[in-house]
Parts: sequence; structure tokens; C-alpha cells
Amino acid sequence: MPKVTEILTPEDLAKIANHQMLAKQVVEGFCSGLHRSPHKGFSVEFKQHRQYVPGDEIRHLDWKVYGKSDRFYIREYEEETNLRCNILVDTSGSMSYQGETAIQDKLGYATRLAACIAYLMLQQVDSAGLVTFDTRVTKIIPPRSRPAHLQQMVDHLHNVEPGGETELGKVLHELVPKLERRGMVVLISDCFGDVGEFLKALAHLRHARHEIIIFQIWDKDELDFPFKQWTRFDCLEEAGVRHMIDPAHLRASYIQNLAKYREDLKAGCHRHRIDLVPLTTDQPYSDALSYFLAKRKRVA
Amino acid sequence: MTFINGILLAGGAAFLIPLLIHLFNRSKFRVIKWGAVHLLESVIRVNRKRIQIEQFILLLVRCAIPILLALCLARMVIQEWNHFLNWIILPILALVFLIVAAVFTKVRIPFGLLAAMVVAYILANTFGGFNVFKESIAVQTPTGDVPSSTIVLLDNSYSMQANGISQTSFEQALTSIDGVLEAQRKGSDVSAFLIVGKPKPVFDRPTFDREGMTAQLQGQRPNFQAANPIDALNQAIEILSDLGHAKREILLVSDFQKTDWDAIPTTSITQTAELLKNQRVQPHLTFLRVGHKETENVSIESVEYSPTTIGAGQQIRIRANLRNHGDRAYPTGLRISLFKDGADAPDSETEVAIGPHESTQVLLTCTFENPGSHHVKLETNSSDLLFDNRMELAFDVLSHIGVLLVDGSPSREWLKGETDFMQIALTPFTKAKSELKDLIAPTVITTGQIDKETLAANKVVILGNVPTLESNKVQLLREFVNQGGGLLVTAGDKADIRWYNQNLANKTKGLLPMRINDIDGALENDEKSTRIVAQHFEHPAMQIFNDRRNGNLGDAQISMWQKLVPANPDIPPDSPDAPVTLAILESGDPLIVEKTIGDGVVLQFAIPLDASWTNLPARPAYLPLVQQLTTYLASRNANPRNLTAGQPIVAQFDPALVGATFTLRDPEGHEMPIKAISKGPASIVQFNETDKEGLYTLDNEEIKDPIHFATSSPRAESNLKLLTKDELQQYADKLSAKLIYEESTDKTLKEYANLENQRKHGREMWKVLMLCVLGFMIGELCLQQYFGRPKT
Repeated sequence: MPKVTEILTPEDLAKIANHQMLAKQVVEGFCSGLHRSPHKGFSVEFKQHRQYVPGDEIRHLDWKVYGKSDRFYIREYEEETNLRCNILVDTSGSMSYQGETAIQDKLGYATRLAACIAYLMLQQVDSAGLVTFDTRVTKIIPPRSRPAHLQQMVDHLHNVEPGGETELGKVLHELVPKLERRGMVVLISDCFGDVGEFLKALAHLRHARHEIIIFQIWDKDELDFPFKQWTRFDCLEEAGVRHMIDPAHLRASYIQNLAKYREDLKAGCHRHRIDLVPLTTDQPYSDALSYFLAKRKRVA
Repeated sequence: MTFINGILLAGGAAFLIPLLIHLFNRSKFRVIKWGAVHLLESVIRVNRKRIQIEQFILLLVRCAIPILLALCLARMVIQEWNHFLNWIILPILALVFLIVAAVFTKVRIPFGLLAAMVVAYILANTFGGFNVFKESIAVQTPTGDVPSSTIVLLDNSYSMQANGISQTSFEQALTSIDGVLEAQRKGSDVSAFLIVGKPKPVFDRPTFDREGMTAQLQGQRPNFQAANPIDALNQAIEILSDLGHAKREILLVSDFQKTDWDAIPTTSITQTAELLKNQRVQPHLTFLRVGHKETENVSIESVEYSPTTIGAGQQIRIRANLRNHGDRAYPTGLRISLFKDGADAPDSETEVAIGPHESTQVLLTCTFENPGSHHVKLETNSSDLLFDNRMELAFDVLSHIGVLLVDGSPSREWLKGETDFMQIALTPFTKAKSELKDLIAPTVITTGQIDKETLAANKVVILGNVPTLESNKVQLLREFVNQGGGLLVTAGDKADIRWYNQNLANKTKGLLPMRINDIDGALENDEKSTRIVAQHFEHPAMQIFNDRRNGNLGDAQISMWQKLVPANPDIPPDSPDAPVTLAILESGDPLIVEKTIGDGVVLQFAIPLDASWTNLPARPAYLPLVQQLTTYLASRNANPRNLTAGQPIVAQFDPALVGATFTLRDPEGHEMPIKAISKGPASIVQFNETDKEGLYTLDNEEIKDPIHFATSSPRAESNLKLLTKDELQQYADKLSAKLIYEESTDKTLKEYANLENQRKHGREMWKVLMLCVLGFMIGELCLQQYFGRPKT
């Protein structure tokens, strides 16, 4: 039985403006093909009381215990998920690149993929949070497992605008203390920038005992560099940076440079046991979800 | 540095194409907003300068290809190495150094420096005059080293048949030409012109077949016209631009007769020298003199005969003018013979004495008993140059000339009739009861007897003092003249002036050229009389009176005469339709006026041809005048049988022969078919190529006897005196030519080889340039691949 995602190509899905609907379509279509249901087995409830200390929120007081024992106890809930997942979406300028033959820009692909992952997480009663950033962190939506939480994330993803320069290393360093508990970090980015700095930041994340999966988003033009005539390359991230070149003459060198960059990144990720999944904007979302589920299983 | 196909140099502008493409590409760029700038920047940072240099080199190579190709196709010829080095070799070398510097990084600096030094040298040489080679190095290509284009100008005048040491000058010329051509490199082409008269090419275009050319030249017959070296040189210069090789030579092979060269105006030589000097690829001009020692020569210079219209049985007087060009005297033994109709034995012959450098006349006579076409050959027994020892003449012998005398004032009394004197003048032998035969057969009729049949039987009609004519008779006369008949109208007391002016001297359709204005003079008063002006006559009918032995027209007294004025004063005097005055009176009035109508002619007299108004009939000039005018009118329409070489042969036949094929045999015995074409009321056969002197015979089954034509040409070449070496050297200097003046062929060829080895020919560089083009094309492909490689 074919999966819906096999029938719905990214081109079709790109036409769906509503990220939630897209995520629903993708994830349910994706999950309907799995042998095991994601709805059972993950969520085990656990709760306890602890004595009230000043500063605790009044609303968390268990008034029934107070009625019985005349003592203030705080009702604490064990979170109903067994996994916290933070989805980090890069919204820097370079993510707005869209090749001539591409159906959508990289940011569009990234936000849709993020919505799909968030939906999948919440369907599995995991908690999912969202972080968008460019030069700095622009939005943090903490992980929650409530289904309504999805709407908040999807709304933000829908309205996100590209801008600023990628400062992956710096941003990730900043994020580490903000991601309170260990969990899973899904980074959706083109990972452009200084590889060394980026790997250091990843190491920092790993040190905080986060499991990391990176979906590196490429446009096909960035991989093939198919340009022939004289071209002025205007930098998407930094205004005024322009390069007038004959791309045909530089293609071979560019491809070589690209391969080296990817190799360095791949080796660094491997060293830190980080999954690096390169994706192009015409690749089905299910490919990414497969990687994600496999990782999720390992983490669980 | 010159170019054989200079116009193709324009193709060099194609270098703009790669340049424009380069600039166009740079200006018509696309803009891409790019994310992966960090990947691009490192590549650009490393390669920017190198890419710029590489693209500059590629651009230079691409621009050089069309430029070199254009130079190659324009067939560049270099005379000096310096320019070729500075403009072609060094720039290519600089580019090659640049390429080496760009490709091999280890030697980048030395080769870059070398390229810069070469460019600096080119600039210094061009603008600063700095040159390592102070003296220009001329390109030298010895004989046989490069193929050449040779134009041979061969003198085939009959003087070249004079005997030299062991062979004629013409044979010596052919041997020399063969030797010269044999020494040339394979692939050389040769053109040849025969320089006699109007220079004529032997082949339509240059040929590579040396043996074929020699064979063709050997087959050439000597020509009777004079050599025309300057026209031949000019013609050779005209075809220079079509020649295939850069090494070009004009070889003038001649005996260099003094008469030929002295006849050339100095301005013509100067103009030809200028033309030669202005050639883009300078040809080498060589005068190759082939000499003969013989200077003795007696020639038949010209032949005259009379009468011009010949009847059967009539004696023809042939006067031959002989000239002795040499120093030898012929007190006796020089015989001139006349051969009739191709007979082997002479019909008559006579001996003549002639001193050195003298000319003399010999009179010979002959008679043809039968009417028809006849010919005679005059030949001397002089043992020198044979070609000018003979001359041919052709005659159309008539049985009689029918003349109709229309008597306007007949009389039974002796000599009182209007045409009595004329009758006597036309038939002098008959009247004198002589054995000799008169050619003209006159018939006297009255105006009423004029009809179509009578007119058809005669060639000339003379209207003698006719008062008036009926209109149908006028119409018959008009048709008679139109079809080639001759009409002579004389004045007289009976002539009705008003009728003449109205009906015959009509402004547009009149038969007569002149209107009769009045009658002047008086019979009784001698003071009012006039005479004929005894001038030099230009008209052929009157030229006989230039010789006073034939009578003086000025002796005759004219008491009365008609004052004639042009019938149509609107016709300008220089128009071909204007009336021609043959003779005038001392009173200033015209005496004889001619008008051409159709194929015929009308002569109008201002006096009668009897003794009523003038005593002319009593004068000796009367008879030749009447005879001349009558035969002129009868034969004017006849096509000439004796022509100058080059004049066309025209024979007129019955219209039924249109389309019939005639055979024409030329003096060398070659036969060629010619078709008769329609012209007016008759058919004609025309042949224009009469450059050979001698007898031409036209024949056809439909005609009774073959018709003969004889051509003659001036005997300018009979004087065998040649230019001396100094004189010839002066001409050679004027034309910047080299002179080879040797007696024997071997010495001539040896001298020619020496001369060639001293000459500096330009060298065609298309092979070198083509190699450069191919090299650059392959190099461009390789460089494009190499420069597009990954760079770290």
C-alpha cells in the first residue's frame, strides 16, 4: 500500500499553504504505512507531592491535600512525554535561496519539514518545541506535548521571514543553557558558515547530552553550480557583497570546494555522533521523517 | 608587406567578434542572489587574478585567429623580414610566452618578463624607432626556390623571321622562353601574349603546362603588323592582379626594332613606368633581346591600281612601291613578277634598279578577259626577309556598267544634245573605234521611257537637263537609289527650278541634297563667269584630280551655274546625313554635292555636263571626271575587295542566300564556315578577324565562282634596323627593366639565371600564417579546457 507521501510530492505539498494541514497530511500519510502505531507505549503518567516553598506558584497547590492535612503541598506532574524535542530552524538570509528550477526556497522547505516533525512528535505524545534563529535567536517556543501546542508552532513557522547572517556557532552556544533538559535537538539549516565554529557549538550541545540530528537543506543549484553565462552573485545575507564572475570557469573549483566543505562537516558530525542528513528542496519530506524516526527510536 | 588578395584583409575585422562577445557577456550578465557565498568567495579569492589573466589570454588567442586567417587569405607577401618580425612573429611570440607563463606556474615570472619585454620592443620599434636590425633584411628567394607567375610578351612580327646566326630570331626567342620556363619551380604558371597589333593572349588564363605553352607558341605564324610593346606591357600589367604567385615577372622577348620603339610617344612609356611602379606586388620586367644580324631588306611597301572599277578585257595598271631598307644597292637583278589568279608562272615581270635606302615604283599591267572575282600576286626575288617580298590584290571584274542617260534636251544635231558629250566621255574607246573595250555601257532615253525594267538593268541614272518628271517616275527613281543605285542630276536651261525645289529638293523626303536658289552668271559676259576651285580633293571620286596628269578641273570656264543651297538647313554640317560637297566654284557656290539615300547615292551638279554653260567638255579633265563619277556611283555600294589587315570582309549576296553557309579560306589555308545573315534587301557574309595578310577566298555552292579579298598591312617592320644596346638600355631604364643582350641562347639563359639570383622576390607567408591559425585554434581548445580545470 503506497504511502500518501509517495503520492504527494513536495511540489504538491508546497502548494498547501497551511503548515498544520500539510503536517497532518504528511505525518498521517507517513504513519499509516508503519507497522507499529505511534499512539501506544510512550506515555506513562507519574506524579508526586512536595512541600510548598515560598516562590512556588499558588495555582499548583493541591487544595484537597491541604483540606485533609492542612499542609501546603505542591502537585507535581511527571511530564506525560518521554522525549523532549527542540526543533531549531535556521531563518538566515541564505535560506531564502531558490534555484531557477526549484519549487520552493530552502526556508519554505525547512519550515514545512519542521511542521511535519512537530506534528509527528505531538502525535506520539512527545513534547516538541521550536526555536527560530538567524544571527540570533528570534523565537523560542518551549517544548510542550499538548496538541494545541502545535498550532502555536505552526503559526510561527508560517509567518517566519528570512533575514540576517548565519551565525550558527554563536546561536547554538547561546541556546545550550536555554534548552533546560536533555532531549533531542533537530537542527534544520543549510549550515553555511564557519565549519569549525559550528562543530564546536555542536560539541557544546552534545556535552549537554542532547541527541542531535541535522537536516542540512540544499538547493540543487548549490550542489551542481550549473551557471554558464557571466553572473553577478549578490550575497543574500550581507548587502553589498557582490561577485561578478564567469561561473563556467569556476565551476570545477566550486564543486571541489563544496565537496571539501561537506566532507569536513560530515566528519565533524560523525566525530560527535551527530546525524547529518543532507536534503535537497525537491526531496520528499518522508525521507527526512524516516531519518527522524530512526533516530527517535535509538534515542528512546 | 603587400597582399595579393588585399580585399580579403577586411576579414581581419572579424577579430571584433570574440572581443564583442567578451564585452557583451560582461555587460549582459545575470544577477543571482546567492546564499553559498562562503563557498564561492574562497574560490574567487584564490583564482581572481589568474582567471583574469587566463581570460585575457583566451581573448587574445581568439582575436588573433581571425586576424591571422585574414592575413593568410589575403595572401601576405613580405619583401622585408623586419616588418614581418615586428608585426607578426613578435606579437605571436609574446602571446606564446604569456600562455607558457599562465600554464606553467614554475616559470611564470621569467616567461611573463619575456612577454613584457617583447611587447616593449614592439612598442619601441613602432613608436620610438628603436630597432635591433638597423638595415632592413630583404627576403631572398633564388630562382626555382618559389613558384612564380610569368607573363611572356612574345614579338611575333614578321621581322622576327629574319635569320640570326643559326636560326631565326623567332626560333631563338622560343628556345630562350623554353629555357627560362624550364628553370622555374614546379607549380609556376605562365601567361603569354603575342604583341603584334592588338596584343592577343595565347591562352585565356595562366597555364601550368610549360610544354603546352611552348608548343602553342611554336605554332604561331608571323604577323604583318608592327610590334606594339607598350600596349602589350599595359595589358600584362592589367592581368597582374589575377596572377597566382607573389613572384611575378614580365618577360618581353623581341628583336627590339628601332621603328617600333621610336614610334612610341615618351608619355606612353612614362605612363607605363608609373603603372608598373604602382603595382602592389612589384613585378620584375626583363627585356630579353633576340637579335638578327641581317639588315638588308627590300620590301614591297604598297600597291596601287587603276582604274578602281575594272571591266572584263580592261587593262589594269598596278603600281608597286618598292623600298630598299639596307645598304646594298641593286643596280640590276631585282625582279618583280605578277602572278594572275594563283598561276605558278608569272603573267608579267620586270627588273628594277634600286639604290641603298631608296624607294622606287614599278608599273605592271594585266587584263582579265572574263568578268568575276580575280586576284594577282606581286612578288620580288629579293633573298632577304621573305615575308614582305609579296603582296596580293583582289578585283571584281565587271562585264559592263549599265548607265541610263536621260536626255532632257535631245537634239538631232551633233553634240547639241544634252547627253552627247557624256556619251562620248563614257565610251571613249568605242567612239574612237579602238580595240580596247569600254566598261561603261550607256543607254540614252527620254523621260517618258523611265520604267522599272529599264532602271533594273542599269546601275547609274544621269538626268541631263530634265525639265520635270512625272511623280511616278520620281518614285521609281527614289526606289532605285534606295536599293543602291546611283543618280547624277545635272543643271540646264530646261530644268524647271520651281518644280525641282518642290519635288526633288523637298526638305525631308527630297532626292536632291540642295535647293536651286537662282541661276548666276551670263553666257555673253566673261567677267561674270567662274571656275572650279582646283583644291586638294578628299572625296574618293575626285582624288584622281589630285594628280595633275589626269587634268586640271580649274581650266574650265563656267559661264552660268545654279546657286545651290542646302535643301534642309536644319541638318548640322557634321551630321552623317548632311550633304557632302565634292567640289566648289570660285564664286563660293557648290559645284558637286552628294547625298546618301538608303544604299544609294545622289550627286547634284550646279552646271550641265554639255557645252551650253561651260567649256568643261572641251577640257582634258572632262572625261576622267565623268568616268570617275559614273564608276563611283556604280561601285560605291560594292564592298571593297582590297582591305587593310583588321578591316572586316563583307560580301553582299542575293537575299535568297540568307542562312547559307559559306567557306572562308584564310591566307594560311585554314577554312572556316560563315553563315550569311540578312541585312536590308540583301544577305551579307561578314568576317572580322582579318589580321593575317594575304588572300581570303569566300566560296559557296550557290555562287558561280569564289570571291576573293586581299588584305595588306603597313610595312613598318621591314626596316630591320634594331635598337643598339645603349638605346635599348635607355628604354629599359625608363621602365625599370633589366636587359639581357646576348647573341646566343646559351649566353642569354646564363645571363638570365645570374639576373634572377640577384633579384629579391617577395615571399608568400600564407603557409606560416595557416600553421599559426591552426596552432592557435588547437591551443584555444586546450587552453579553454586547461583554464576551466579545478583550481585550489
